[in-house]
Amino acid sequence: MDAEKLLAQLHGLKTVFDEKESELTALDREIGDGDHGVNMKRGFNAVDEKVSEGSTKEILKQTGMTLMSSIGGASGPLYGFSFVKMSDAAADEIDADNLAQMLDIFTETVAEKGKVEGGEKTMYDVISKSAGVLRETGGLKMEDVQKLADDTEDMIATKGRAAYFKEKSKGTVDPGAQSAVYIIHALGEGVDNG
Amino acid sequence: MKKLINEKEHFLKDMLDGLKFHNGRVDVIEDTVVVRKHKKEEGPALVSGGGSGHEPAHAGYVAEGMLDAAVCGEVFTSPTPDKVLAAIKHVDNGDGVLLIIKNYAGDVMNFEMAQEMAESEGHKIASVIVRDDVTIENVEQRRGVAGTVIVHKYAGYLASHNVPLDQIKEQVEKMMESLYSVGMAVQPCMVPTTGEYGFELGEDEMEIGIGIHGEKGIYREKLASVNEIADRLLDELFKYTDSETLILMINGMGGTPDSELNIVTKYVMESLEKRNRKVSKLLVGDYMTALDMQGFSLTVADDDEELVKAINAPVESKHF
Repeated sequence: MDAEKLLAQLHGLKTVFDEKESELTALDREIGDGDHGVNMKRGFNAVDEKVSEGSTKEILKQTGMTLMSSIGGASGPLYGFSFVKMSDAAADEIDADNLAQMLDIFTETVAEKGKVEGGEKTMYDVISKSAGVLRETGGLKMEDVQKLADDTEDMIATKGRAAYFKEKSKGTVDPGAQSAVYIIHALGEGVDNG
Repeated sequence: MKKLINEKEHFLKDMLDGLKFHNGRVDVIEDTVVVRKHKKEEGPALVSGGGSGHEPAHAGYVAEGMLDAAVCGEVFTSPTPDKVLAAIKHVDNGDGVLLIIKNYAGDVMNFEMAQEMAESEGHKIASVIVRDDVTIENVEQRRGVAGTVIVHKYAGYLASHNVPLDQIKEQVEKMMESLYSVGMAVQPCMVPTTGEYGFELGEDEMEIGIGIHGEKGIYREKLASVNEIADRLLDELFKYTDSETLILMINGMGGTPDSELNIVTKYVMESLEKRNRKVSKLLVGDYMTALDMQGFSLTVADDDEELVKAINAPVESKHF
């Protein structure tokens, strides 16, 4: 995935989040405050508008800064800071190995900033396992990444707003885990198509 | 759902544009940061903020004697670090800045990031995190709700007497050790970003332990009479405080008429009398709301001469 392809994948997320706004909102209404869909849509609309050129590193960094200053909430700094950090590791031509390294950094950043670990029903449950999926299967197929989010359905939240509901948070996929699916799938798709 | 809102994407901008017409004491900088026109020249400055939808919090408390800046996020969404940093830079007169943060993952992350950035630029920053909602058992996870407004007033009073930054932080943290809140709703709020109610509630149901973001309460119970509800909430609070004399705030959630808030006040005060508890200072009104949610919250703090003096001190805000 070169800079042009990376940019196309990130811009493509605007359409994805436009389409998935109501799905994320419905999940967030169950165990949060119902704004995750709108926030992610605002974030990637801003990326589409403001990030337009540069090397892979520059594109990732600008994407991170844009997300940080447009999403808000907890997702804004977590996604935003992660993209800024991932930019350090990005090669000019991102291949599967390089993307796996970037996903390791994504994982470390969310763990550190969000003070979160696996099994707490958050975006971390998808992000932290995606590098493993990529290394094992050579790609990031939608069904494989989606399964990581589906696994959060039976978890009891201990972080984020869903944690207020304790046992009652069971039975709903975590909205942050679901939005992470779309981001990670978009990055994986870029590598698949060369 | 009929609402006096045009484009939901313009909610924040339209609201702040309107505010400027009738509050001549504030300016809006960087699109979403409300600051005092007459910038304070000495003494620590206070910055708070958070998602919008809690009006008059926080912009309504930007006034002499309370806040120096309020950073307004989208509805129920924490503002971003760049805006918090802009607020800090604007208000800092060299005596440092206190950040008053409600305990939500997003608010804490965004404000702390701004704090790091400001410190690296040479600003002296201290922060306090309000977590007064007793319905969350885990103390670390407790949400910051209406008690935040008492923190604003107390810290504002101390800052206006030029108490140094570190000492304000220390005194506020001590006061917060006895600051407890609990809230309830008979109707959820309509969240403009989704055009839907935050949750569904049946005709004979109420939510106990609501937050201020239209999220569900911790307990769903059968609707009771006002005196029973007052007893129910006070029972929650008195698990944590055994103080005989209290400072009490009865806070409307945004869609509760004054008349109902007065009815609530009557039964809360009667229940307190039966328990032989006295109230040294009573505040009743809409201080920290959740849009048009119908319900109320109770906040108590241990009686304290200086705190009562701080609450009674004059302030330019018409909301306190």
